[in-house]
Amino acid sequence: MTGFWELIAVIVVLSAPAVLPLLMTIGLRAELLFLAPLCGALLAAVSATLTLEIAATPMVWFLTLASSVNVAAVAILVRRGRRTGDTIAHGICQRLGLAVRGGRVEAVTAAAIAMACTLPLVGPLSSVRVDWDGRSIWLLHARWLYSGHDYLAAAVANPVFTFSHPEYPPAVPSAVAIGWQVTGGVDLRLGQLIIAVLNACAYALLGCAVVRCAGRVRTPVGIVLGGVLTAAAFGASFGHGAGRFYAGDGYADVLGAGCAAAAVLYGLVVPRSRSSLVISLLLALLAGSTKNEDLPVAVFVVLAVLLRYSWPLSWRVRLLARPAIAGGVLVGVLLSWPVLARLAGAETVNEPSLSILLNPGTAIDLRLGPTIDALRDQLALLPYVAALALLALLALRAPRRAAGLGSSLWVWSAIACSLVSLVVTYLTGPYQIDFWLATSVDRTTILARLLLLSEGVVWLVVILSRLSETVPAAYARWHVAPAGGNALSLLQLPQFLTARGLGRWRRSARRNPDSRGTG
Amino acid sequence: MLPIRIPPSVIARAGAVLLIAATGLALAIVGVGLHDTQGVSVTPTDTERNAAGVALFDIYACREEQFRSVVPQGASVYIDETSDEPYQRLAEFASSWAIPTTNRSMATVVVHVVGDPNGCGGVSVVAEPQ
Repeated sequence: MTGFWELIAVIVVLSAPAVLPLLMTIGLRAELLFLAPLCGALLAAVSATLTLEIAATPMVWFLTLASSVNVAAVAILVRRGRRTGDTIAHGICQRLGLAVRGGRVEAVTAAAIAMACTLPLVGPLSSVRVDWDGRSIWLLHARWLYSGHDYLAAAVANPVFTFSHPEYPPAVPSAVAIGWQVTGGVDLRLGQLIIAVLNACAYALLGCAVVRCAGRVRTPVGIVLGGVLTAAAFGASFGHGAGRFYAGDGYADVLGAGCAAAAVLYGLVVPRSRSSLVISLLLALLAGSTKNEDLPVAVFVVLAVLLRYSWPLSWRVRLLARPAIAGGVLVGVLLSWPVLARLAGAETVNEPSLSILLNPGTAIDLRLGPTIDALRDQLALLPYVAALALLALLALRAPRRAAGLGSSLWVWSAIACSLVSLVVTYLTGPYQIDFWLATSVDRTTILARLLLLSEGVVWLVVILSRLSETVPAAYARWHVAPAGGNALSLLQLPQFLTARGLGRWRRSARRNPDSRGTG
Repeated sequence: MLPIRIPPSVIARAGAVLLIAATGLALAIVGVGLHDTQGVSVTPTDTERNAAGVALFDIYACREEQFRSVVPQGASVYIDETSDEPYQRLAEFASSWAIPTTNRSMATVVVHVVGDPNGCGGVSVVAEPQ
């Protein structure tokens, strides 16, 4: 059982620094359980950048940053306490007391989503498996980080390691390196498990976002569909090869894609709130710090979220300055590792060739066709989701807006951003295109598949919410006429939907046409 | 007696969250089989196992142990391989142990793999002093 307790220790260490700051910003919500380890990974990524640029090991910076963040959080509590005359502990308890309103719902949400992301991992994680990129990129970088500044700086600039893409973002390797520093040795199995847990947390947040889309009134619908989306996301993580399951084999694609998709949902779809804003920006930062392919989408999410939350824009400099500065800082954080790694001498084998874009022709002819074909194969879901979205947009735009949900066009913009950046990458990259597509396109399109699935599920939430409003309302008028409109719930829906109930409703509606269609 | 009073509902709800989280963890312990870590650490004590017929993962763990036994710690290593698989694995094994270099004349040790039926998966890591 050593491996299990080591994993628990690592997840606790990764999560601990984020608990108090998250409690203060998002409250005691289901998301806290899944977001805390991811925040630890984000903190680890910043630690890796500092390790490369300055000195020491990721663990030293991780502890420094964790202490700083928590000291700042306590300072804010003390300041608030002085203002209100309360002690710190009282302030925390007050905030907790406010936060746990609806705690049962949060607990059920957390449990349901946790189950939905645990069960698909049961089989794959029972065997030790670290596939090619896991060994040659992510866990290799973790070894460099584990060895500290001197080795890291030498390795990043060492041409022997060009195959390993030293400029790739550091979130996954640094989280693993911190795990190894906690347990005291390089252990690839532990690395596989840490990455799998982070992947599961990202997918869990996708499910939680759906719960938030459903709102407080229709939480059961949200929990069921959130669980379905989480499980379906794992389904979207299978590769072409036999037994390729990217959520459990040491690859970073799932974490990047899961965080980016959840950032899109929280920032651009879930009704506007401070907690959704915080979750979205944190996830966008982590997505951009995990995989190069997700960086364009992460930048898009940061800018789009700040636009959505600043809307309607005020052109007064004072009001516009804050989101502009926030956007600049966040994009700066996202670009820090790629820029600093290049400055430290990192070379990569897939340097884009911009001359291909400037002088199209043969290269476009040779590369564009196979790329589009491969993307079409991977995105078989696209026409169906597009048709559903188009129909729903025509019929249910008003209820979606009334529920406070962001426009569907945001999600499609994110999908377009992801696909355009992929096409440009495949067109300008140096590899033989057929080999490159065969070995990567099933991973690089995970984000687009997740966004398509999410778009479909969010529309399902809107449709079911609409049904649960209209059908029980009609039933109430006909049959029960309860004292309070809220007495009817989804639990009564199956009873009403029996043939007898529907038949009686139809007969009644025929007898009394005035009551029809007004629910 | 604490100077503050925690509302019972807070305790009950926090307890419910912990209970459900514990249920999830219990499921993870039973189902995921996280206890199967035998022979996957690169530390010598954990890798003493028979590599024949087991997964590629274990073969690599064995080769890494071989690498460490034939290459002195901190040595400058030239990897004399042209195909991806042995080259990348040897570079991986060299990480945090030795310093790989692309300049053969600067290296103190040259490593490559040979087909050895008694080695890990039929291949052994060989190091030659430069």
